[in-house]
Amino acid sequence: MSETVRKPKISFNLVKIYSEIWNYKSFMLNWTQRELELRYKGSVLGVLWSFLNPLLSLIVYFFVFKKLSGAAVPNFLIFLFSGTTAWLFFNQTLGTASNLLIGSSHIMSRVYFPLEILIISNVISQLINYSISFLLVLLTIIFLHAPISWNLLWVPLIALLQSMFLYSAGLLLSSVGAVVRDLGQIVTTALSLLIFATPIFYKAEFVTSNPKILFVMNYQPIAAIISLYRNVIHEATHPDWNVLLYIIVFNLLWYLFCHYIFNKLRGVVYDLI
Amino acid sequence: MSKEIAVKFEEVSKTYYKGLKAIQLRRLLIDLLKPKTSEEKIIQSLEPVSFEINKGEVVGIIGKNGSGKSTTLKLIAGISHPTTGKITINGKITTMLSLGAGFHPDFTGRENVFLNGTLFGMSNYYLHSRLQSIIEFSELGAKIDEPVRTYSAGMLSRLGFSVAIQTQPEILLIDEVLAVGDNAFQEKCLAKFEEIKKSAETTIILVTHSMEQVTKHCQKAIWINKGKLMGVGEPDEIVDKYKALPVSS
Repeated sequence: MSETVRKPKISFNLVKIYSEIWNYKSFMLNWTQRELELRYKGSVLGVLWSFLNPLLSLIVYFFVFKKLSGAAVPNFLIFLFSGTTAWLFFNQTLGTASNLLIGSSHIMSRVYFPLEILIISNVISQLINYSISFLLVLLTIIFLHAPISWNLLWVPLIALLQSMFLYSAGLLLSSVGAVVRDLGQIVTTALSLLIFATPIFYKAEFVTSNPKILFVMNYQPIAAIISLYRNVIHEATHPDWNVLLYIIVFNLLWYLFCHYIFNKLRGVVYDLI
Repeated sequence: MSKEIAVKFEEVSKTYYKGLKAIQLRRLLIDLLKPKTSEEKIIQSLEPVSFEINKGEVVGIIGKNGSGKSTTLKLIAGISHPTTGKITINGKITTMLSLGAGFHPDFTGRENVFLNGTLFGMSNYYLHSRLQSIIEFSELGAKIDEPVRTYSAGMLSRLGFSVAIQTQPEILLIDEVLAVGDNAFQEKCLAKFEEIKKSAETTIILVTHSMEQVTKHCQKAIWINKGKLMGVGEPDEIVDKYKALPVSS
């Protein structure tokens, strides 16, 4: 027998929140599967798009940025590809996040369930997508006869850190996005700028020597996570310990901040949808 | 709190702010250009109300459209949060505010059973074990493997109902879902409710316009008018008072 108390002030009790989410794990599984099926339903090539999309954009980026960065970076294709596939994971998840709660108003207004599940499902389905396209990175390494190192085993950990970052961001964007409806457009625009402001196609050192700008460019979380991938995939070494530690600490604070805001807005979101 | 009480409202109110709409930059710009008009921006959907619902009771909530009935139900369900006061709930809630929530038209009936059923908090494992009786109750037969966009409204509500009813609820919230579907379906649902009532200590709270349903099936009636609690008590008594109130007020 469970006793539930509802009061105007919604308590931020993570143990309670996650034990409830655990009870809904079947729903989480089904909803994720639905997300994946819907993405490819009706498209002729289906899951193949997970390969084609990054492959086609890679080809374009390769020819555009070969001149700028290609000469200075050995194995430029791997450098480029490890960054762009990770970027696509950022891009797809952040780009859809603002709409997650608004887009599910039809179920939210009828049945109670832990809303966090919608955000978790989105991250998981995008992560599965990313894993499929990551196979292409591996193929490229083999194709170029680049060294295959044990350091590739760091990739799942880095992907986990990236997923945590995206889950937190999803909590923030989805709840704020339900209140500020323009957020989706703002994020889309910001992302299209960010793809060039983040050292994905080049190294930050190529474009500036100003130490302050360099610091921001290299240590904003998205760039830092991509640099970790570069360490283990392109440079075939261990991740930079300082950056790894920074991302872990940042993630923790970022998560608490985002989930706190999400929880604060929970009641308001129900009134607005 | 006594274990005999299923739902307890203590001075619970719900206020919506008219101004509290989703922010759209376009509208913000228009508001900036226009001179400000001060108007009453608060909608009191529910004034502070207190009542108790005992375990195993069948309770009917009556009142006119927009009186706060559905708000009350949503507050119990947890899909709306109180502005003031305290709500205490003892037991697992299943909401039937509409049938087939989360059904996706492109998925088959069978796939939707799992999507919709787990949304109610059931596990895939449990739903597998109940699948046969769900399909039987819904009378869909082989059509269960066709996309639900090909279903009629009656088929949809039959399937939605038979999934929702599998939750073995301790507190069942119903918002006029019985208004949809034909007579035979309504009869079948009512029979199912009687069965649930007999077999378990299930509390049933329903919002309805049918006074007949209230006097026939309920042990308690709650009457809400314009966000005010007008009466709680014997269904016959409350329904008589409700009918005596002039239409205009």
